[in-house]
Amino acid sequence: MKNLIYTLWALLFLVLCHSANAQDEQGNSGGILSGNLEANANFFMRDTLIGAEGTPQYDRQLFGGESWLNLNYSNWGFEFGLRFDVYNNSFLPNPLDSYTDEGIGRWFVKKKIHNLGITVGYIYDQIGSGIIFRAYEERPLFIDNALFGVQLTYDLSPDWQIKGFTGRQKNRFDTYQSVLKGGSIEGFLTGGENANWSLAPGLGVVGKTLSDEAYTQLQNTVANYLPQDTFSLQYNSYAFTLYNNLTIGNFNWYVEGAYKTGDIYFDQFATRLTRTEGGVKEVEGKYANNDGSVIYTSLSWATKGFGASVEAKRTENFNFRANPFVSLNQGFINFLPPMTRINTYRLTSRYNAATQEIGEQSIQADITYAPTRKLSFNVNFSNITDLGNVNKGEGETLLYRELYTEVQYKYKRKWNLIAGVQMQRYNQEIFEEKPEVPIVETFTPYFDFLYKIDRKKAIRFESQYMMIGDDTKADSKQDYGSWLFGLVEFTVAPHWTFTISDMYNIDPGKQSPSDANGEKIDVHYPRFDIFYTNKSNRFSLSYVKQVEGVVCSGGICRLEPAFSGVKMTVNSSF
Amino acid sequence: MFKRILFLLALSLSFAACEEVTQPLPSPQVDSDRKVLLEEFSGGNCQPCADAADEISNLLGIHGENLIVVTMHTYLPAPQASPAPGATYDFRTDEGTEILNILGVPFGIPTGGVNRRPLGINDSRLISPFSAWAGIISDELNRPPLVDVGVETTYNSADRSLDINVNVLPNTDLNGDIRLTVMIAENDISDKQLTDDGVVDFKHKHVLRDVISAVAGDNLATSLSTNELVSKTYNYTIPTSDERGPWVAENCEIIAFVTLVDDAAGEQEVLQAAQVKLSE
Repeated sequence: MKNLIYTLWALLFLVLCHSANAQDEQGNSGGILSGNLEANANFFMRDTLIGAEGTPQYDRQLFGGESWLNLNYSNWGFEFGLRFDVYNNSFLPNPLDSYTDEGIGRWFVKKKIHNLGITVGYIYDQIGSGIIFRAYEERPLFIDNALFGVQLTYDLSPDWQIKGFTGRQKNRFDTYQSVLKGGSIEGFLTGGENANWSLAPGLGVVGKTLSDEAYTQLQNTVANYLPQDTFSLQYNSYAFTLYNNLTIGNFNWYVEGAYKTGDIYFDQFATRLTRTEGGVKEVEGKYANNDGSVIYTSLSWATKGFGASVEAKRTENFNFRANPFVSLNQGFINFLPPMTRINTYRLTSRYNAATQEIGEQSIQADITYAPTRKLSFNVNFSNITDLGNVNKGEGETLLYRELYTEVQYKYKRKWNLIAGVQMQRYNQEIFEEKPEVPIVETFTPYFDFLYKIDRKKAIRFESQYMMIGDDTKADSKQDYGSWLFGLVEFTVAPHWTFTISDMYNIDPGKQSPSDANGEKIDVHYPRFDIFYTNKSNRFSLSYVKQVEGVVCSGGICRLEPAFSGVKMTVNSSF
Repeated sequence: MFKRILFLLALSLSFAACEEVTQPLPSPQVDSDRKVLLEEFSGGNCQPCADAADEISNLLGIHGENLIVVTMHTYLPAPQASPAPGATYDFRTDEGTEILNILGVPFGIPTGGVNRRPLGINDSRLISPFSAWAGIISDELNRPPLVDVGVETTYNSADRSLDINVNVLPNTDLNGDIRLTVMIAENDISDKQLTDDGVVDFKHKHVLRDVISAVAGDNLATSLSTNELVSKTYNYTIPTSDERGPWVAENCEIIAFVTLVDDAAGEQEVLQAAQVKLSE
């Protein structure tokens, strides 16, 4: 059956392309065929010291890879899309397991008939900033939350559009059973050609109907709770959002408020009572049926040489999934925007604050100042806490805090220096569900120096030193302890880039590997990369040794694996 | 403007359909002949696993002898699967690891399979979080058993020899690869466990000690008629101790279950289970 479907799709594409060519010969429109390819290949080399072992790939398979070939064809006012996905011994879905499957990962047909837009198939889209609905793809995280269904849009005027959709969320090569439906109206208002203001308001709603199977399982689950923890269930839940983007001159203000009606979700931080042999005890994690809300706003102002922005978000009970029995990053109907700086250097990006959909309040401020064309400053501050618990008399708990500073100096076109300091407080107990660990404290100075040797050649040096606080209880450094990272990158434009780097566990911590005597070892994690770019083709070959990490959610823990081996990637577009 | 108002009206109407009929919660206790098998995968260095043990105690309180539990510590390559710091014993077994691989590799622990039944999500037979076990157990209890399984044991404390006789009696005609799995588990082993309060002394229950049959089950038949009795006998000697510590025979229990396996389709389910405590 599967093969028949592949064949039919391939035939359809061939027929379309052939029809296009035939029409070309008759002097008619031939349409446009475009696409892209992404392919990853991983060769696994077991390294017991860093924990790169024990999975099928290290033990016996030795190779794993993924590939996505995307084809788009447009003609006669239609757009057709087809994507073929391949996973061979892939660790993307579950780093502890090996996943092999292949098939049509996406197809769609799109047509615009006057003001009416029709899309059927696998649809990527969102409402507002995605707080109530976002169907999107994030390949490195194995997220493909396409909506498999139908979407209709209608242009009420050049500036106003309404939208309605229904379908089910994609789950690998299948779909979740819950049915989704939704709609929105979005518009654009301005005072005229010379006006310096504009408004882009919108209103959206999404509904979810649980499958009979999920409902029955939930019902049976809740029936086993002690009376004080039970609740009545419903099949349907709805999320509403109202948003607007206001621009006045250099000011930009976005605000979105969302509300979700009672929806059944798993709250990993809530407690419930259980009867045990030793009496009634509290256990962590329970299904709950609560309404939820999110309010998010961002305000920015920019002028020559100066820019500032402030963002704030408050989230309460906004875990909105296609199936209440999936965890981690699976089955999210929506997307809650993160409220921290997206860091790119190896050590400054080591500790990340995952969005807490159950409850968090966060604020982020960013200021950029460039007094001259050569010199610029950037300061970013973010602070995230939970909502506290009034009933238990508990105040807010710090989840994450970061202060990031950066100075950039450009000397003619010859060299460029970026330097700064990052300070973090990271609640490892919450983000990774590690009990009895202190808040990780980091202090990380860094620099990035680029020197252009000539018109084609450039060399770049990068270094960070992450100093970690003490874990007084464990009488050691927190987590993996302190790190030193260094990188040298040599570029020969336009084709070649070579990098060599090392992440060195200079002062090992509680989690660092030990030798046979139990002494902590200061392990090196080297990496070598070669990148080759030729027009729209890009190739990379890397030798990688990568430290492991643990991420927990929903009461279960997931290993972000240590990696040891060789990686190859190919990216191409046509 | 009229079109916009019309749209908003249509939108609000489409979401303001009549209210759902609220369904009452079923009783958690199910009057059933079914004995449901919960295969739990745990770890000494896993803090939520201690809560999972409490949940199992709770479920056993609700379902009594209708629920049979075996807890397996495995060589899952995750730090949580290791023994807790300072632990005397390492409960991990190759057999438990092999069973985990039969059920599917999880994102983490604790996790568990109920009658090896797929959840309908990615063919996984493992259910996380542990709060979701109760629903599947109740659901399984509502399905009548396709076979009856009876276990009789004779234990000689002098030489620690154990004779196990398992009787399987189908309640309907069965076709396919019908297998029998027999395990031995031990209760109340005191050792360290990571909990909310840090590493504490803990009574580990239902700990898998060994699989007496083949791990994937011994072949019983390829077809069975209603009331066609099949018996299988096993002889086993309970070790006084091994690398996983001393074995207290009185705390041991024998678990037997019948599975219907379709290797080609990668499917299997437990038809019925039985359990006998050696102290009985």
